[in-house]
Amino acid sequence: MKTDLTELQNIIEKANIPIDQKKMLSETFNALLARNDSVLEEIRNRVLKENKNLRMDFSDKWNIATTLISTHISGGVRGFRRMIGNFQESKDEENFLGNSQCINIENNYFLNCSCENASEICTDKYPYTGCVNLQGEDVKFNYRLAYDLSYTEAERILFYIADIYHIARPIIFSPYSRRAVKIQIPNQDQYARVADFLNDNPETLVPYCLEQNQLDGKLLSGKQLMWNIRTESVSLPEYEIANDQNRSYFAPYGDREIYRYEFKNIDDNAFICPDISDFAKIIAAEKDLDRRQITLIAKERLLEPCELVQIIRTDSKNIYDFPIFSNSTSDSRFSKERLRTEGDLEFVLHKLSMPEHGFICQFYRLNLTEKSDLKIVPRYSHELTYGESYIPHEQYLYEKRHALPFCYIKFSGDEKFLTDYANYVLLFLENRYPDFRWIGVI
Amino acid sequence: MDYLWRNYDSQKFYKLDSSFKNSSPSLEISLRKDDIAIVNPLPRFTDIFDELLSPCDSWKYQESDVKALSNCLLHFLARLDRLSGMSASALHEEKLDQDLLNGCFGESAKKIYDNLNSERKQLILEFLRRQESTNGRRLYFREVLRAIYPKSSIYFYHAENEFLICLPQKKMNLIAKSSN
Repeated sequence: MKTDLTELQNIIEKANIPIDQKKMLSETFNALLARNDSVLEEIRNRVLKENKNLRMDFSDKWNIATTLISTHISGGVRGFRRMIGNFQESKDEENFLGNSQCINIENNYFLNCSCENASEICTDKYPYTGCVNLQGEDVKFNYRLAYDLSYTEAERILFYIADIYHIARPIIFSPYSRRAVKIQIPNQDQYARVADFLNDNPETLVPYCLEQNQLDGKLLSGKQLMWNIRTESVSLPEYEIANDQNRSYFAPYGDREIYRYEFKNIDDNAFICPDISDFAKIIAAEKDLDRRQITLIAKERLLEPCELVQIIRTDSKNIYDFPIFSNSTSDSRFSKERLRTEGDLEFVLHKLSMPEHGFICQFYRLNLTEKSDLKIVPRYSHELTYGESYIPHEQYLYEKRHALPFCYIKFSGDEKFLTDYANYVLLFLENRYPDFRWIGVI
Repeated sequence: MDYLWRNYDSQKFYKLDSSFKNSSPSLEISLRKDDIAIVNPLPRFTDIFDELLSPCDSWKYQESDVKALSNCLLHFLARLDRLSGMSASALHEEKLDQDLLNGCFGESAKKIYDNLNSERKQLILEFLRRQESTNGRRLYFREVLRAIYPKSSIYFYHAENEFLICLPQKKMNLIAKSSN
C-alpha cells in the first residue's frame, strides 16, 4: 500500500507559495511518506507472518526422548542431557510442614516396577525398616519412599513452550519421571546420625534392607534421568540495535504498549522460552524458519533472561540399559480436528501406537453410558500427570461432561509401563479431542 | 522515556523544539504541560524535520506557520506510531470486541461485557482469542478468572464434581462499571 508521491508533489507544485517553501514542503513530505510506507510495509509483513505462524505446525521438530542412564557412564551419552539441572534445580514446592516431619535422602532413586506397584510402595506411613552400622553399633530406622516430583515439574515448562508455539502432538512420554522417588526417614533426634550416614553414602542400598522389605530389585540407585534437551540462558536483545543483530523494540498499537524481542540465528529445532516470572506477559511467540528468527511479543517489558531450548536429534535405538521413550510417531501431524468416524479414530490411534516398545492402542467401543464390567486403566494422580489437565474440569464446569459419550480404548503391551503408555495416550486424546470421555481398558 | 505516541490526544498541541533548548538531546519528549507537549525531533524524526527547521528566508517571519505545520506533521507521526504495533492477534481481538458488542455471543454476554472497564475487556478478549486459536478445544475460564481476580481461588471437589469459586470481591463488581 504505497502512498502516491506524485500526487502530493503535484499539490505542492500547484500551491501559491514561494519556490523555497515548495522545496521545503516537498522534502519534508518525501521523508514523511517514506516513513509512512516503511511502517505500513512492516505491519503488512508482520501480520502476514503471524497468520502464517498461527497456521504453521512445528510439531515435526518436537521429538523428545527420555531414558535412564547410569551415573557412571562416561564418554558422553549421545545427545542426552540431565533432566534436572537444565532449567532450574529441583523445583519441588517447599512443604515446610511436611519437610519438618521427615528427612529427605535424595540421590536419583528410581522405582523399577509398574505404575500400580509404585503407588503401593509410596505411602504416607513409614512401612520399611533399615539398619546401618554406626561405629560398630547396628542402628535400626524406619523409612518410606515418596514421589520425587522434580522431574514432572521440569516437564511442565515443555507444556508451556508447546502451548505458545502451537505444538499439536503429545509433548513427552517419560515413565521414569513418575518412578523417581526420595527416601524419607522420620525427623527425630535419634535418626540424625543415620541421616548423615545415608546422605554421605547415597548410592549404597544395603542399609535399606530391600529384601526384607520386599523391595528387592524394585529400587534403583546410581541412575540419572536424561532427555535430549539442551538449554542455554540467553539475555534479552538490546533495544534498537542494528537490524542484523538481535533487537527489541516498542511497537505501540493504540494505547497498548507492545514489546517485541527478536532472537536471530535460531535453529529449526530450537525454541526461545521466557523466564517463568515473565510467562504471563507473553502474547505470542513467532518462529520464522526462513529467517531463522524467533520473536517474542509481550504486553509488558520482560525482565529476566530467556532460555534457548534446543531439542537434540537422537536415534531411538536402545543403546543403554534402559529403554528410550520418545513421543515420535511415523507422522507427527495430527491433522484431524474432529473425529467423526471410527476410521478417523483408528487413524489417530495408529499414530499413537509404539510398536518399538510393543505398545498398541485400539478402538474398543463407544457407549452413551459408563460400562462397569471392564478392567479400567487407572489414571495418574494430579501431581504425576503430564502438564496440566484442564479439560475434564472444564467439562464439569460447563456441565457438559455428563453428556459426552464414553469412548473406550484398549491398550496392550509390556505390563510394567502399560499404565504409563495408556495415560500418555489418554491425556493427549482428552486435550486434542475433548468431545469424548476417554477411558482406557486392558 | 516518553514518546510521541504516549497519551495521544487529538486536541493536544505538539510543539517542535526547533531551538533544541527545551529538550534533552536523547529524549523525544522532555516536557508536557497542560495540552502542550514539546517534541525533540533529533531521536527519530531528523530526516522529516531537517528541511523544515533549516534556516530559510521565506519562513523567517512566519513562525506561526511552521508551528502549525509541525503540529500537523507530529499528529500524523503519532497516529502512525500508534499503528506500528498492529498484529494479527490485535486485529483478531478487535473483531472479537465488535462481535461481543454486537451481541454475537448472546445478549447477556453483551450486557456484562459492555459494562466492564477497558482493562478487564482486554483480558477477556485475550483469553477468548486464545480459546479460538485452539479451535474450541481449550476453555480458559480458570485463567481468565485468575487474571481478573488475582486473589480468587478455585476448588474442585472430585467426589461431587463441583466447583467452589472464592472471590474476594463483592458480586456487584462483576457487572458494575468500576475502575478496579
